[in-house]
Parts: sequence; C-alpha cells; structure tokens
Amino acid sequence: MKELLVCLGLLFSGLVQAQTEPFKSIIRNEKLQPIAGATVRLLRTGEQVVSNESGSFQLDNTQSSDSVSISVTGYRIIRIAIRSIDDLGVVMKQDTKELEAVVLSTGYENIPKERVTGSFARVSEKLFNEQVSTNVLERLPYIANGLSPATTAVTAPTRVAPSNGLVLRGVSTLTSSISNPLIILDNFPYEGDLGNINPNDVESITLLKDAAAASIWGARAGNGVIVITTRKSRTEQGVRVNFSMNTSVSTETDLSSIPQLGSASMVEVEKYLFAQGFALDDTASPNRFPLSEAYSILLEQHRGRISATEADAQLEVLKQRDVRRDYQKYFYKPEVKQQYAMNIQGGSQRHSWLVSGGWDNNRNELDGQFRRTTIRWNNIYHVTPRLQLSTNISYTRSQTRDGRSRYGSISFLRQSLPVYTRLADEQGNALPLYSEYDREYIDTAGAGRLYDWRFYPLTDDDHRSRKTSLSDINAIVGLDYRIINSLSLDIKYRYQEQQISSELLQGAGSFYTRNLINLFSQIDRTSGVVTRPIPAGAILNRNRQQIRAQDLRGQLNFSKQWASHNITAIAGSQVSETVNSGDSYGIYGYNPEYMTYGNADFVNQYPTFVTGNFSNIYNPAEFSRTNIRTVSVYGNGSYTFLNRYSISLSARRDASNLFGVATNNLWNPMWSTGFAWNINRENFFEYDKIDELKLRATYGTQGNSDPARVAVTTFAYATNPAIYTQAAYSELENIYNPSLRWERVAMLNIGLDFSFLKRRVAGSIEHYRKYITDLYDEVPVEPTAGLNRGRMIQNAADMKGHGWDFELSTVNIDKEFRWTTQLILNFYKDRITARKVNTASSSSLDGGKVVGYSVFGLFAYKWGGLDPQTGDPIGFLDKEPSKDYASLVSDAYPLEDMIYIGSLSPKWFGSIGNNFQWKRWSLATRISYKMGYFFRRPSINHSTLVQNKTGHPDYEKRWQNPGDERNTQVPSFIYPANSSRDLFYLNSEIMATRGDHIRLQYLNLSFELPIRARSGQAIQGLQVFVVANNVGLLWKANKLGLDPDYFMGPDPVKTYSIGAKINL
Amino acid sequence: MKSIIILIAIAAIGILSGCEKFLEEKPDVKLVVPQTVADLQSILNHPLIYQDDPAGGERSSDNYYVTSANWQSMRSEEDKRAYQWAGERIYVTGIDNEWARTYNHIYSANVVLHAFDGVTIQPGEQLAANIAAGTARFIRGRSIFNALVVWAPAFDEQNAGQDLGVSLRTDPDVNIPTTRASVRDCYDQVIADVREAVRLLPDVSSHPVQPSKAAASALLARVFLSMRMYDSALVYADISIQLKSDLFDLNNVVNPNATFTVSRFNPEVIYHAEMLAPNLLNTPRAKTDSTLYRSYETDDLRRTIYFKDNGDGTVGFRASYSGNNGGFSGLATNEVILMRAECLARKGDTEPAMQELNRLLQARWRTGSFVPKSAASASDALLIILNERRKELLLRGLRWMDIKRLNKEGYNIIQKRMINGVEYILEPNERRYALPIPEDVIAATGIQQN
Repeated sequence: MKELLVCLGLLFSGLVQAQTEPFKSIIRNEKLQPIAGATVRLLRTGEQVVSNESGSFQLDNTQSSDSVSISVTGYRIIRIAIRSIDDLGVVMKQDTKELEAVVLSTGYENIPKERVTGSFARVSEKLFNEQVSTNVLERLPYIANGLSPATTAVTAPTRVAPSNGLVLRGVSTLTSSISNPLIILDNFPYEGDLGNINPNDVESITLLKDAAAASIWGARAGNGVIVITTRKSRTEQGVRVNFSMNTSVSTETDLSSIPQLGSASMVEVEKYLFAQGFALDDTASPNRFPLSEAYSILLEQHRGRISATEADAQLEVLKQRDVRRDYQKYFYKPEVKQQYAMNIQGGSQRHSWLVSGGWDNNRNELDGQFRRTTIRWNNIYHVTPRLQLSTNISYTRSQTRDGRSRYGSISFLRQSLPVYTRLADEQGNALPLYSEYDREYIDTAGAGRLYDWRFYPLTDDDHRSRKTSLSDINAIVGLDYRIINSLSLDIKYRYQEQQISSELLQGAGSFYTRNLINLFSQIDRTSGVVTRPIPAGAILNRNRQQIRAQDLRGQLNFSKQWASHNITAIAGSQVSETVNSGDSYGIYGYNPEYMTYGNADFVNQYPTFVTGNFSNIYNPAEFSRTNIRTVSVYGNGSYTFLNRYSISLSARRDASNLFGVATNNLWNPMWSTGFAWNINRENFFEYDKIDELKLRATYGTQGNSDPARVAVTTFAYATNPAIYTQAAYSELENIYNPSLRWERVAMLNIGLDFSFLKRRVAGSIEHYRKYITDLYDEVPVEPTAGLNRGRMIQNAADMKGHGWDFELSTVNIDKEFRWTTQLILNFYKDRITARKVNTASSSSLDGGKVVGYSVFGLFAYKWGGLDPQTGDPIGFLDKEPSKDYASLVSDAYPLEDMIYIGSLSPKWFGSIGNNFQWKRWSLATRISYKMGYFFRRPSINHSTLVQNKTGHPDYEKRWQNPGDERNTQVPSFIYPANSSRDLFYLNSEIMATRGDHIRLQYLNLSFELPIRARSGQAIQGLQVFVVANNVGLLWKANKLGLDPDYFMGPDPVKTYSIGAKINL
Repeated sequence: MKSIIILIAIAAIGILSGCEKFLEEKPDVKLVVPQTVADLQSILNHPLIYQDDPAGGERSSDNYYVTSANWQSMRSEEDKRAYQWAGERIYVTGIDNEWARTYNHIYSANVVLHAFDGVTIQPGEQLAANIAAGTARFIRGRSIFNALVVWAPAFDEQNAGQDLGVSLRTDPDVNIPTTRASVRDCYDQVIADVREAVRLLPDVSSHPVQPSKAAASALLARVFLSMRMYDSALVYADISIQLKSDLFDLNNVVNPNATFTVSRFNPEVIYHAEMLAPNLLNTPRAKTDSTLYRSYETDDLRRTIYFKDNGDGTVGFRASYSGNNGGFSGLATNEVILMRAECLARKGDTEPAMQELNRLLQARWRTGSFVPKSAASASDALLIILNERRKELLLRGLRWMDIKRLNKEGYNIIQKRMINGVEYILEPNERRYALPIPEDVIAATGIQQN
C-alpha cells in the first residue's frame, strides 16, 4: 500500500515536473514601490504564495498558459497571464473604493486588518466628523460598534456609572470608579482631562473589544480600550493647509419641562400642613430656621397680625408665580459654541511636519464661558534610512468661567426652593430670599450693626466668580531604529503635565461672605462695638491640581515574510509613573483691588451669632499627593501561513506600587490567544461574488485594578487638624484583607468578517462571552466590628455576560446618486453569578446586583391597587393584601415576592447611518436606538412633599374621593406622611416604564463648492455644512410622554451648527 | 546586531531589577500603616473619640421632659420611641448610631494595642509610647463601660456571671463573630483596662481631651461606684482628687445671660468628652423637671446660671461643660468630689463626707451667702449628698447609671412620662433598663436582644 502511494506520488510529480517551470516576478504599486504580503494564486492549481518584503514571489510549477490572480488589501485584484508579465513586474492599482488599507492600532503596534484575530471596531475620520462637538468622546456612542452610552436614568448609589459615560460591551465591574474604558492617545494612556483633545486633530478611533485586542494593556484593560490616533505628517507631499470653522447654537433649556408641582397646589399643601401644626416647633427654635413665604403669611394670620381674608389674598398672589419662569427670564440663554481649527502639513523625502491649532469659544446656557486653545506639532525625521525620529507635542490651554447658578442649586435650609419664589420685582430689582434664617430674625438681628443678612439670588452671582484655567502639555518622542530589515527597535518616551488652577472669589457683597462674617460677629451689648473674627472683605479660595505622567517604553518589533510564512512579533517593557498632587488654601478679608487680606484665627473657637454655639473658622488649606507606579513587560506575536491562517499570542505582566499588596499578587499575568482563517483564500473557495470571508476566534484575560484598594490596614492622615487639640489625626482607610486581588475578565470572542458583491455589502458578526471573577464588592460588616463604615471591599462577586455585535455596510445605489447605509446592532446581557452578600429586597430595587439577574436589574413591589375607602396603596405580604408598609419595604421582605421587571440597561442598542450623495451635495443621517430595558419613572413622594416642599405633578392626580381609584393609581395624601408608604408606591411595579426608543441623533448636510483645484489658485476646495444634533425622539414605547433619557427634565436641547472646511 | 540585542537585554534586566525600589513608593502620601508611636497616637487623636459618647441613657432619664406638642412634632421616630421607653427600634440602622460609634472607639483602641507589636519604640519615645498605650486602654475601658451602662443591666454581685453584658472585643480582627459576654466579664475587662491606663498615663495631660492618670482614676471610681463597690471607688476618687482638685466658682461666670453659661474646658474638667446628643435633648425642647428646679435655693447660683427661662414658665439646662447644646460626658472634679462624699458617707464618715460636699457647694453659692450643710447621721448625709449629686450632675449621662444602681439598693425611683394624656412608667429594675440593641445588629449576629 505504502509503496503504491510513493510510486503514485513519484509518478505524479514526475508528470508535473515534466511540463512546468518556476516563475519569478515582483509586485509593485503605481509608484513602483514593492508591495509585500500580496497573495498570488495560480488559477490552474490553486497554489498560493505571498510576496516578500521586496515584493518578489516565486511559483515553482507554472505552465506558459497559466494565469494568476493577485490580491492585496487596498488594491484592485488583478488577473493576469504570466506570459504578459514583463521585467517591471506586476503593477497593482490602488482600489479607490477602499480608501486605504485598514490598519488597526492597539497603541503598541499597527496591524493590518486582514491579519487580526481579535475584535476591533474602527471609527473613520469621515464618520467621526459628521458630528460637531467640543469634546472627542461625545461623538462616539452612536457611531461605534459595541459602545453604548451609560444609562443616565435616575442616580442610584448602587448603579455602576462610568464617569466618561461610555460602556464598551457592557460593564465589567461593580465599582463605578474603575468602570471607565481605558483611553489611549497616540500610544499612551491619557491621564489628563479628555476635554483637552481637539477633535479636529483626530484621525481615527479604534475600540479594542476582546482579550486578543486589549490584553496587551494588562491590568487596566478590563473595561475595554479606546485608542485615539491623531493625524500625522506624511513624507513626500506638498504643503497643504486645511481650515475649518463652525458655530453651534442650541435651543433654550425649557425649565417648565421639569416635572414639578406648581405653585397653586404647593400653597394649598402648605396651608393644610400649617393647619396640622407642622413644624410650629421650629418657629421657636434658637436656630431661627427660615420659613417659607406661604408659611410666614399663615403664621402672621395665626398670630392674629393679619386677617384671614388678607392672608388668603396674599396666598393667592403666591399661587400665580413660578420661579422657573424667573429663572428662564433672568438666568437661561441659548448656548453658543464656536470652533476654529487649522492644520498645515508638508513633507520632503527626509522630513515631514504637521502643525495644527484649534480655538474653541463656548458660552453655555448660564452664560458660563469655556475657551480652549490647542496647538500640536508633529515631526518625523528620517535621520538615516534606518533611523527615524518622531516628535509629537501638543499643548492645550483652556479657561472656564462659571456662569449663573443653575436652577435647583439654591436650596433653603431643610427644604427646597419654593416654586412660588420670586427673584425680581416688576422693575427687575432683585428680591431677597430668606433661605438660611427666619425673616423676622434677620431683619432685626444686630440692630443694623451687621452686614445685610439677606440673600438676593438674582444678583448674587455678580458678586462671586469661579475661574478655572488649565494647561496641558503632552509630548511624545520616539526613536525607531531598523536594526536589520526584519527587526527594529522602538523607544518612546511620553511626558504629560496638566495643571489646573481654580479660583473662587466670593466678593464682600456675596451672601456666602456676608453670612459667614455675620455668623461669627459679636456685638458688645453696652458699647455696640462689633468684633469680627472673620475680617471684612471677600473670601478667596484657590486650588491647584497637577498631574504629571511619565512613561518610557522600549520595544522590539519583528516582522518577517518568507515564502508563505509571515511572523510579526513585538516584545517590550514599560515603566510608568503618574503623580497627582494638589494644594488649596483660602484667604479671608481679601480685597481684590489692592490685593490685601486679613488674618483669621483657625485655632480658637468663637461663638456663633444665632445659636451661641461655639465653632471654628473653617480653614480650607489642604495638600495631597498620590503616586502610582507600574512596571510592565509584554509580548505579542502572530504567525500567518499562506495569508490564510493566523494565530496570535499575547502576554503581559504588570507590577505596581499599590501599597502593601502581597508580593505574590504584585506580578499579574494577562494573556490571550487567537486564531483567524481567511476562508475566501482557500483553494476550494470558488465563489466569485464573495470578496472576503474570515472566521476568527480568541480567548484571553484582562484585568481591572483599583488604586484605592490595598490589602493591609491603613490609616490616612486627615487633612485638617483635630478640633480643640489641633493635633494631627488619622482615619481608617483600608481594612486588612490579605487576599485582595485584581478583578479578572476572561473573554471568548468568535467573529466572522464578510464582504460580497465587490464590497457593496460588507460587515461582521461577532459573538462574545465574558466571565468576570474576583469582582470588588462591598460586603457588609456588622457595626459591632467597629469599623467607621458599614461595609468593606472584598473580591466577592462573579458575573457573566454575553453579547452579539453586528455591523453591516451596504452601498444601496452607486450611480450619480449614491446611497450607503451602515447598520450597527448590539445585543448584550449579563448576569451576576455569585456574591457573598445577600441582597435585601429593599436594596434590590435599582440595579441592586442580585445574584441570578442583570447588574442593572430592576425589581419592584407587587401592586395591589388603591384602597377604595382611603386611597392607600396596597401591597402583598405573604401573598395577602397588606398595608403594613414598614414590613413591605423592610429588608426582611422576601426577595422571591418581588417582581423582576428587567434590566435598566438596554439589551439591544445601536444605530443606523444613511448617507446620500448627489453631485456636490451629501447628507448624512444617524438614528440611534435602545431596546429591551426599563426605567423607574418618578412620581409624587408625599414625605418629601411635606419635608422639602417639593413634589411631582402626579400629586394633582392623587386619590381624593372614593371612586377615584378607578381613574388613578396615585395614592391619597396623608398627614403625617408615611415614608414607607411612599417608598412602596414609588418602587411598585406600576412605576416601571419601558425605555425602548428610537432617536434621530443627527443630520449633516454638506455642499462642496464648485471650485476646480488648480495650482496657483488660493482655494483648492471649500465645503460648507449644516448639522442638527440631538434632533428628537422618533418613537418611544412608553405612552406617558416621557423621554427615557431625560425623564427627570428638563427636555434635551437641540443644537444646530453651521460651518465650512477650506483646503488651501 | 547581536551586541545590540545583548545591550537591550541588559537594559531590560536593569529596568526590572530597579523595579523593587521604584515600586516601594507609597501610592498616597497620606496612607499610613501604623509604624511609629506618632502614627498610633494619630489614630487616638481622632476628634470623634471625644465627641461621640452614647446618650441613650440620658435620652431615657428624668433629667428632662418634653411636652406632648414637642413630642408630636419631632422628626425622629427613634427619639419618639426612646422617650416612651418603647423597648424597640430606638436606633437608626447602620453605623450612625451610638452602638456603632461606641464599637468604633473600641476598634481604634484595639488597632493601636495590637499594632504595638510591630512598632519599634525609639529611645526617648517611652513616655509617648506609654501615653498612646494608656490612652488606648482608657478609651477601650471607657467605651465598654459606656456600653454597659446603656445596654446591660446594673451590676449585681449575685447575677453578674449570668447577666448578659455587651460584646467584648479586644482584637481588631473584623471576622471575629459578635457575642455577648457576661456582665462580670465585661466589668473585669473594663477594670483591667482602666487600671492599666492609671499605671501608664502621666498625672496630668497636655489637653483636656487627652486622658491622664487623674482621668483614669476618676473613671475607675465611677466604674466601682456603678458596681456599688464603694470602698474601691473611694480609693480611686482619692487618687484623682490628689492629682486634680480645682473647682470653678460660679461667681466667676463672665456672662450669666449667655446662651451657654459655662465654658468648655473650665478648670473642673479632668477629661473632656461629648455625647452624640439627639435632638430630643436640645433646648428649649428639653425642659427641666419643675420640682427639681424648685429644689435649688435662692442663693444657689446654679438656679440662674444652670437654667434658662424659656419664657413660658419652663426652664431648660444651659450649663453643659461642653459649652454648647451637646451634653458633656467627660469627667470633672465636681463628680469626683461627689463620689468621695458619697463613699465616705456610706463608710459612716459623716463629718468628712459633709466637708467634702461643702467644699463643692461653696463654689456654687453667691459669695458670702453659703452656710455649710450638716448632717445628723451618715444616712442623713448620704441622702443630702445623693440629692446634691442629682442637682449638680445634670445631663452628664450619669443619671441613668445612678437610677439603675440606686434602685438595686431599694431607692425605688419610678420614672414617668406623659404624652398626649397617656402615662408611661418605667418601674425599678425593669428589663427595659438595658436599652434595646440596634435591631440590625441582632439580625446580623444572632445575639440576644435585651
């Protein structure tokens, strides 16, 4: 048998050999530069080879009649008879439809898309620039595959909420402070304010979604990585200048869209409460609590100073007012933003350069100002053919001045600002507000010897100013030395320094300052002399924050192509240090005109004017400094065979100075492995209509660490000295926990990339599974243990998640009128699999992280309607109707009896973009959608209505008479209010509302002016555009008229921008 | 080429071996793993340690009363129930109640006492080390004692071995399960701790919030007094008074009309501490019992300086040694003198007992008007002294302890409260004299409720 085979083989090879000869040639581009990595396929046999670095390839067995097909990303596939190939070799033409070879950046290396095994999503410059914004990240959620905006709904302390508002493939942690994806700007983690980056400098954004893509970032990559790459200069091009400008105007904030109980009902509520003797005690309190206007009128009547008719008439006046109207009139304006950007670039053979600048000038709805100037300078020198030096230096300076006080920022002592408050009289003069103390007291206190103790909200902002100025420098110097053709050494050093200094000046005329000075004033009863421990004048607070980050990276890059093998590998190590430091101080009695100040005594206590209680004068001095250091070693390699099969391997170890972490945990390995198979390049693959079909799979781990968690008992020195003794004291910061580890995210990703019909249909579908273990979780500590907190952090929870990312781009019409569509569809679902802490039913309500349910699970109490006699809400206790509210909302209420509503976070989300082009016109539209989730809508809370004098308009719909229960679900108002009863109603199943909605995110209409590009002409191209942003809801599932993203009000503003782009 | 790779390899190794030192940097400059005596002292310097004493006993005692209307309008349901001696749910859950605060003091003390093993005491630091250790002992003993007064029945020689005391924690390990020790074991720990504090602490301290030998002795006298071991109480009261005996003559009050008439850190204060005073005890809501008020004689300055006329026929207490609305729960010479007098009277030393009392009263009467009190017998003297103790030590957190121990001796003090026409009565030696432990603690630990 064996012999036979050998014989057959010999015979066969003999036959072939007899009729064929080797063929050798070279593949070049239009500039006649060699192209490496092109696949050459002999059509007769299907044999494939790949061109090497010098572009050459060799086919061993060719016949003179043979044809080959040659393909390489970025070029048109050609079929050519080998006879017709001349000495010049094969010249490939660039594929104009596929603009450029897609190269994905991980921050450590650039990988051609066709070779990657991992999951990447790329946002092109064009797509990125369809929107107008000051900030880079704002534009991402609706255009990037796999990225969703964090649920903004109601704020619950249990909620996991990344501060930059972005969630990549679902949350991977239970700790808010470490839930942000890692942001990389030009190869290094960006440590400063992301608002420093000029969006006009951005060339592309790449999301690293799975372990193979992100594990190279080790212990910070648990939430995924967003890599931002700025424009770089290119060699051999003439000087080019691009200039762009735009102006955006927003619609005015509509405060009346905030759900709030109106004046008429509020006055009636206060009347009722007064009749019940509510807070009558407070009127005699030595604290001189402030009384609301309605309360004062009623008190006057109660004391017999005014008649009932007089009181009613005065109350009637209050009912006509709405403080939101005053705010709208005096405080709010449409927001205006201006943005200018310019970049100049040029390059010779040896040196290329790019200079860009940007200027933003924003004025927000409250007249606050933000101005930003950015300058960036990028240089690449080819010092020798082997040595390249690059520098990228960017500098940002911004200034922020706070505007007027936002609606809702003023509150009374112990209650909210009454809705019937008036800020100005008919002539527009500022009216006083008695928000801290009783009016009668203030008007007489100190018999005129004190400063005016009234608060004028309308003009108070004129007496105070808060200014912040920021400067940031981010410099990267890189040295790239090609040791041999296949090996290069790459050394990069990054230095970033961000300085933020802010100044809050509360002028002598501001209420804050007058109040504080008066509070510490003492009047000698006999002489009338006033002594002021707080010197007269303004109060100045200054604060300085500095971030200094340094990174040094040494990396070896290896890349070799021989015959049908390709190996790419990197190995390197990195040392990083991020120092955060800050200091602040305050000065009393400051005079900004002469820059003089007074001295205040922070050591001794002084009696306060109102109660006589002794108190210290607050000293705002504070110093801080943190220093995070890490050392990492990493490696990444991939091997591709025949351009068909790729495997990748990656590993990284991190060590950091996170204080006291047990040595065995100091070094933390992360790894990943992946496989990709370009099916369309197989010999058996004979479908012409399919351009690309690639299957890939990866598995690996990423980590997530919290700099605030260390394993030993630590105390932290308090910033201020102890009261009385002025001694330094310390507080418990961390509890002994020797087993503390990093959170570990393991991810499996399977994906299929495809394109059909000459790339008219292209896309990818991916499935991933996440297994997250050792999550930081708060484990309750029983109070007798004596900690100054009820909980401690342990690695005490596990979760699982899985999802699908689907993306499809189609060219629907490709004529003079061109229509393209991009569809992004994401599905994500997660489940907590283990927790040490048993969730009590009362804390399961709002994303309570219940085992077996979503991280954002929403639970509710079963609703039994309203009692027809009393309008009391009815719940169920042991399956029986019950009004025992204390038990219904207690921790002891069985979780099994709660109703699981669903997730607060959308299960389905994504967007659809449609682009239309006709002649010089183009229109880009983007629709976003979120499906399969719920939110808990707000309603009337009678206890807060009583305590804070603020309520929801649902109060009007409350049960008042028997029979009302047929038309309403809002419980009756009872006094004394029962907070458990309110809690039950607000968290019952009837408040759970579907969040599903579709939103028209933006429209961008642009027109290319008919300018023929001619040399010598000043303007080479001019494009004008109009953008409408946040246009509005197209559809929502709830029938209550609530916008699921803004149901707490006010309604979102629309923004209209107009702008132009000029090429010189 | 090869040499370059070798060079890089050497550089890489260099970087990695240099790491160890590089990574030793503290991530936050303010983080401290207690390593020095100063670090330990900083834990004990925490202001909450002297501002957070339990007020549960005071809240449940007859030093004050509130009107039905006041009671009705109170925001805190827990305060309302406590005022009624409801025997349940008188604390908010979590860590914002006096049980949790008391055990937090104990935790801090335990951390310090345990950390002493890892601390190297530098030459010349022995005194500072003794202060830190003594302070920790003082705080732990004092906090356990405070807890006993509020949550355990009065010490009873016969039943102390069986009566449930409070949880005894002498180790900072948070994983140790919570149990309740016997009253005797608890008192033994208190006495051991405070005795050690007496041994370690300097005679007087640099600041009234820092304990001294005088303070520890006064505390120990108070502990023995509550156990009705009057001979031992006398021994420690003597030690204390020898170290500090200053009195504050009320004739020297600067402003008798001030909102708070007595200043913080007045000369009588041996150790300053404040209660976590509930709103219930704030003036003018909390009013002083009229019979008690009438018992102050005309020339007794306390009648005007200690009380403020509310303008509606009621008076409120305004002479807390904390200098504000919060109650003073520390130690002062007036208490030590009253303890000495009581112990002497109980020994039968009528004359020295009355002398001691008169020394205090001298500083309370209008100059020149004081006629020294006398007693016919030791028991007569004891009654006078106990009466003066009640009048002198208002809102000091002592009345609850006194009612408990005196009722053990048959004084039959019955507390009564009237709310909306309903009378609430707390009979002598009732179970409710040990206040209910926060319900969430009971639920989490399974320890027995009072």
